[in-house]
Formats: sequence, C-alpha cells, structure tokens
Amino acid sequence: MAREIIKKDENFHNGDYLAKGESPKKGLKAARMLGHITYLSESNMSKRFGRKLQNPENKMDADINYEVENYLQYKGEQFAKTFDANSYILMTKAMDSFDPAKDFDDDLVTCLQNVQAKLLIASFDSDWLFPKEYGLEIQMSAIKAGINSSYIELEGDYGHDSFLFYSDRYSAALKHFLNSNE
Amino acid sequence: MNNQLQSIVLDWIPNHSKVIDFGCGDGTLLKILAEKKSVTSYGVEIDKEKINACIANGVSVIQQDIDAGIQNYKGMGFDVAIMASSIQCLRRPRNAMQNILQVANECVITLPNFGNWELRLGLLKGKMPSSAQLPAKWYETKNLHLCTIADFEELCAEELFEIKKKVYLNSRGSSSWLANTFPNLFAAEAVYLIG
Repeated sequence: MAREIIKKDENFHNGDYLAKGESPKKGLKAARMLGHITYLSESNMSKRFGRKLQNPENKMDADINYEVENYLQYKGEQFAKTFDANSYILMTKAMDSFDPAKDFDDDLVTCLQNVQAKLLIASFDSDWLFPKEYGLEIQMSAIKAGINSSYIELEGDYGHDSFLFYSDRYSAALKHFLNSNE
Repeated sequence: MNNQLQSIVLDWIPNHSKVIDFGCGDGTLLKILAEKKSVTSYGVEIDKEKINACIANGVSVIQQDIDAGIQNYKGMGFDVAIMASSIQCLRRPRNAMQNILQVANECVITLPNFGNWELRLGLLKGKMPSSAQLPAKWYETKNLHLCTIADFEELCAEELFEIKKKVYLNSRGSSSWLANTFPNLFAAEAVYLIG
C-alpha cells in the first residue's frame, strides 16, 4: 500500500523524478504516516494522544483537529524531506520478500539446521507487524532442527518498536541469555 | 524435586535422548539431565521468573501455557516427556495425558498423592491439609485437579496408558516398605514411567 501511494504521486514520474528535478514528497509523506502507525501499538497511541485536540498555534495544517493527526503529519513531513522515494520502495520490497527458507526448499527447519549459535526468540505482545505467533513458529522449527533455542513473550507498550525500549524483564532475559553463553 | 526423585528420573531417561519437560520450573532437572545424560532438552513454562531462571541456567525454554500448548510438540521426535508435579495444575489433565503420549514415546509423571494419611488426617480435622508436597494455602494453590494414587492409576487403566515403571516415595522422599505396600495411604509422592 505504501508503495502504491508513492507511485500515485504526480511527481513520481515512473521513478525518474530526480532527472526532472522533482520528488514525490506528498506520496512519500502519506506512505510514511501509514507505516508509522503499524510500528506502534494501539495502547501506546491512545495513551499518548487519545482524543486530545491539537493546540491551534502549532498546527501543521488548518484542517487538523487532533494531536495525533498533527504528530503523524509532522513525522511524515520530516521523513519526506530527507528520505528518497525509490529507496523507500526498494527497502519495503526487500522487507516483504525476505524469506530465510527460500534457499532451503522453503523449509525453515532445514534452514535453521545451519545455525550454530544458541537462539533467544522474543516476541512483544503489542507487536502486530511481527506477531508472537511468528516467533513461536520459529521456535517450533528450531526444536525440529534440534537447536538450543528459547522463546519468550514480553510486554511492551510500543508495538513493533518495543524492542527499542528498556524493560526489566527484557533486560534480565538478555543478560541471562548472554551470560549463559559464556 | 528431592534427590531421590531426581535420581529415579535420571535413571529412567536414556543417554542422548530428546527430552521435553512440561512445567520445567527453573530448569534445574533439565540442566542436570544435560550434564549427566547429554540429552537435548526443552522446557515449557508459564511463570516469568522461572523462565528467566531457565535462561540463566542455560536451559532452552518456551514460554507457553501447557494446557494450550502440548499438542504443538507432536511429531518433533521427542523420546521422553516429563511432567513433574504439574499434572494437577492443568485444566484438562486427562486430555493432557492423551496428548503427551503423542508427543513422546514415553512420559515421566510425578504427582503428589492426595490420599496420603497425613493429608487425610488434616482433612479429618476439618481444614484443607498441607504438606511438604502441597505447601500452598487453599486460596493460593495452583493445583486444580488433585488426585490420589488410586485415582491416577484408575485413569491410566481406563485410558490404556501402560505404566512401565513406578516408584512410591514417603513424606521424607524415600522408598519404604509402608509406602510400597500401601501406597495410597503412605506414599506422599508417586513417579511413573508411562508408555
């Protein structure tokens, strides 16, 4: 969807926007706003913004009513100023098509058999970009492959971005895991 | 898990086998099994503190509710499944038993015997009894389906679970003539190898 939005921008010119001295900033901004929501969690968004109204003095746009709208507009705008649209398209495509089992007859178990390290697979309960069922699936394949592997579920308020934030349990799990490997 | 019980379990589990421990606690048993029997092992546990202890012990652990999770481990080539003092904490123990025997060829089960005379005496006094095996107060206990040795063996007979080996231990954690002769009354704990 994000790629579609960028391509629909009149300044995209089929990807040749640099040759025309332009940039599909509007598309890139909207795509980023959409992406931004998916990295966060509903609980965090409602805690942070809820239905708070935006202070009229620093509205990004006259149409804006709510703080969350203003925030997404601002973040999207900043992103569109600094990020290249083709790079964004390529990176999201690379993320979508990443498949570790591709070179192993689509079998994750065979793929994991090459792993020599111990694994710690951690899922965050508010992550809906990479939900915990995926983590458990990797764990099950790791067991079939006979790899030393643990699976834990952590609480996090920040959706997919939760792994960037400190929590006591997250930190303790990592510390114990790394020490147990010494 | 006391030393006697631990050495029985160690004795029953073959070297280099693939083992899964449902309700593995802090992973102590699996750690010992890895050291002494070179097993490949995984523990399943729901308690977050205990999961951290497993990780610190270098034991592979999966955070999961046993009631919901056992059937996920079918077809993974486990030789032995362990369920030590966990079966009575499950919502559907009979179902769990049926599933566990599809996960592994053999299953080691240990359970506290609610028929033990000290517990009967406690109940006779009109209060919910407690013992070394069942220390928690009624309002704090995780036990949902307590049973006696007679109850458990009846279930095994009904479901055609073959009891290959069994050991009865008294309240001091050792094997005795009384516990072996009148297990339902004098054993505090029983350990089974079921196939």
